[in-house]
Amino acid sequence: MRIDFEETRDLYKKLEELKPHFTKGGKFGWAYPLFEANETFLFVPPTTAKGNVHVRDAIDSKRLMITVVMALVPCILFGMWNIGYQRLSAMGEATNLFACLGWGALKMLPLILVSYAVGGFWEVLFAVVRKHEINEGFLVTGMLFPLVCPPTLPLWMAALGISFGIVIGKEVFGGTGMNVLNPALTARAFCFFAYPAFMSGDSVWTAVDPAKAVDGWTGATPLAVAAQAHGANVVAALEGAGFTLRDAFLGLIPGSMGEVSTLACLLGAGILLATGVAAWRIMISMALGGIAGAYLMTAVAGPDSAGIMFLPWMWHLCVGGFAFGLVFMATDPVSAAATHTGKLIYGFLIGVLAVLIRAVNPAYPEGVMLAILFMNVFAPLIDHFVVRGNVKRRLARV
Amino acid sequence: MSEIRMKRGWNVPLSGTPAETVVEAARPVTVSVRPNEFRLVKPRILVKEGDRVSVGQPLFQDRERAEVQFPSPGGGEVAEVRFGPRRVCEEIVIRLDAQETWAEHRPHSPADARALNRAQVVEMMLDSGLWTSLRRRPFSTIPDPTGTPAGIFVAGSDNSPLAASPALAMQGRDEDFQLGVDLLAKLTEGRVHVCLLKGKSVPALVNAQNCEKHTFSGPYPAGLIEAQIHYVLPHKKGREVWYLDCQDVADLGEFARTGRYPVNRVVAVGGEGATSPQHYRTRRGVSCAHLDPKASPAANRFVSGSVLSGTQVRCDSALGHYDAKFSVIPEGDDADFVGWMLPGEDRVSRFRTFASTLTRPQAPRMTANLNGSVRSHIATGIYEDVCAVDILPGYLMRALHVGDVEEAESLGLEDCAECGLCTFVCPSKIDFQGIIVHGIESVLKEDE
Repeated sequence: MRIDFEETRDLYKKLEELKPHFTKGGKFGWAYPLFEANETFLFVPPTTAKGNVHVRDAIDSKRLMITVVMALVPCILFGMWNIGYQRLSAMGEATNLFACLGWGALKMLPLILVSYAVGGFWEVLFAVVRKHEINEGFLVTGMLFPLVCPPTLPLWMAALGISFGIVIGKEVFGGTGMNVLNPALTARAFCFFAYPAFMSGDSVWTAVDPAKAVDGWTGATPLAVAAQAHGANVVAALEGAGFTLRDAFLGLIPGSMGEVSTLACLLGAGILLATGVAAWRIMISMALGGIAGAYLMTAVAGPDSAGIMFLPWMWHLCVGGFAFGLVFMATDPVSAAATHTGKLIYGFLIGVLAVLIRAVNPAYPEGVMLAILFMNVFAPLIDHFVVRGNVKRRLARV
Repeated sequence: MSEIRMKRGWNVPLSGTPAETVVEAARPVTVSVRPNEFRLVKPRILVKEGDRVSVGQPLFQDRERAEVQFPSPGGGEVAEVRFGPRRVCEEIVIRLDAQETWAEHRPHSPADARALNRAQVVEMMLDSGLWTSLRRRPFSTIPDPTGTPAGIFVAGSDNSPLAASPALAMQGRDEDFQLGVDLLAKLTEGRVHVCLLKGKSVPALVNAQNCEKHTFSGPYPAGLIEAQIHYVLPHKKGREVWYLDCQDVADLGEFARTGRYPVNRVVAVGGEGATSPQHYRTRRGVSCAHLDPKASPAANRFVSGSVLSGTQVRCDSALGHYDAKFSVIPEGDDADFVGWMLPGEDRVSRFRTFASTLTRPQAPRMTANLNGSVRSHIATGIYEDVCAVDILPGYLMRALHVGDVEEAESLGLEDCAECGLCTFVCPSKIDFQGIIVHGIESVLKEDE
């Protein structure tokens, strides 16, 4: 299918007439990246292949990134609903669909808008200064960041966070494709360490005034409950606090906006894997790493250990940011390991580390963000050994 | 007889695969050669416009190695010696005489030919110009006559997009092929390896003796000789192998028998732009405009060879020395309104983000358009998914990009089969193939 009318051809001609103003020497020469972004949004350019490869895959960077955003839609929609659901049930009010979605939208959309606007500003600024095209990867970063924030995050903090993520996490390394750390997680880590009171604890995960909440409501996340529990009866403690594995899987729990529902993450994973956009190797190996980590923790736990040491692997995979991190964060192609073997090692270690941090770090109960950032740093090293292995194999030929 | 399966790779679906039929093409008025198509060869042109040449007479030679001579594909008058920018000779055109003359060499009976020794075979190949049909791995340059290859590979398969059929080309050439193989066997310390594709039998090759046969299966580039060699005798420092097309092997046998440079070729013309995709019985140096005069030069791109590794040529330019087909595809140089967000039920993609994954179109839309704009490299891992040889394309490219040729060599620059798939799949539209070719050229220059 093509959309090819007189009008669209005229529009393209008009754009081409405007182009000289936006190229070097033109009146708005500095704004070329903006012009290019808009023009290529409207039209796939008529550029043809040079060199020996005369045909090219229909995919481009825009389609790749928009596919990831589409895969996020289940998480966005469910997260939106859950914000309202958590609020209304904390207040003991009826949780009808539209009220839940409405409250959620009220909390979530401003954060997404701020993230896109502020992050987009930096992206464009660096593109203009560096005179390169605007890379579409930002569409994903700008959406991922708000989804891993609590719904109560003040907008100015989100603006600072995404600024840090884009500028320090990405642009200082040279921009898209060159960054070591996942920019969205860098942004979250910034907020986490700069404003811990707004990013952790029991009161931030539900958008509700504690004074209006029903008696006995604590706002604690399942991970916090598990961390505070003692001994092997952790599941009973969780169920006592009102969490079932089913709720955790479906996402009827407090948490960061987009990450609560394992089911929604699985839908996203389905889209990413069916389209071939994200690396299945990382997803599978990280899940296996999480399972291995859970068994390992249970094996080394003593009778007086914190309850989270005994948390079964199904819980680990369903609560907190594990599923979301597994599907959308660890698989970021730029900051992940690039080789096939490297991806398996990288994913597995993230899974193990995430559970390890959850279980043995007394300061905060969640570990997925730190595990991914940590392994982002190690991904080049893993790749290095895989590459050397390849070189060695070549030298050993008979 | 070994069977080898290549797991990685991809078949790029294109409409207009040449039909398994051969039609006799009319005798062309002109034939030509393109002296600039040979890697590392610096041509010294031996003829000028107006000269009379006979078939097989050298038109140009390599400045560095005068014994490597390039024979004329036709007899008649040199109609044009066309120079491009920087005095690079682009094409030598010969207007054919009604009665062509041949540069005559001594014919041999098959028994006499088989009695020749290595030096005599080398001399015969150099004299005839058939030496130029040999190429060496790594890097696909014409080999030095003093070199000794660890094996000689004969290409008897094609599964690139718009594949030509070697079986049609080899019809009735069994004896010449066998003689060619016997002569080639004298050149190598190792064996002559004949490479075939599973399910695509070429009787002349299957029945040949005095050679080892390998049957490959799998997606493209399983039918590409450079990739096939990697699975049988992969590159090793100090080892070189030679390879050539099965039509050239039969030509060698024919030359030994007749003493005349063989010019007959079966050439495929395929692609959406071809009026009737099929095979033609024609001759060396023919142009696509002669075989398929109705293919519009305005709307189409003419490629000598495959669309993943061939050379863009003018429609009246010669078929490449090593090519057996023309691919004619629409140029596609028009803007596509919001093309990147449409369902794309007719698009071709290794990713499955288009509706074509479900609709599996019979005639997919495929042009020479980049289908996007150039962006920063993103290591999606797709390169490794499609690379059939044991290299890590992303890392090789990175080394080449920063000009670290030594690192590139240790990462397997010599192994690259130049199949073009990593460039094809790249979502950032980076011309990896161009980077690789540039790297190969700088290695070759260093070696000089």
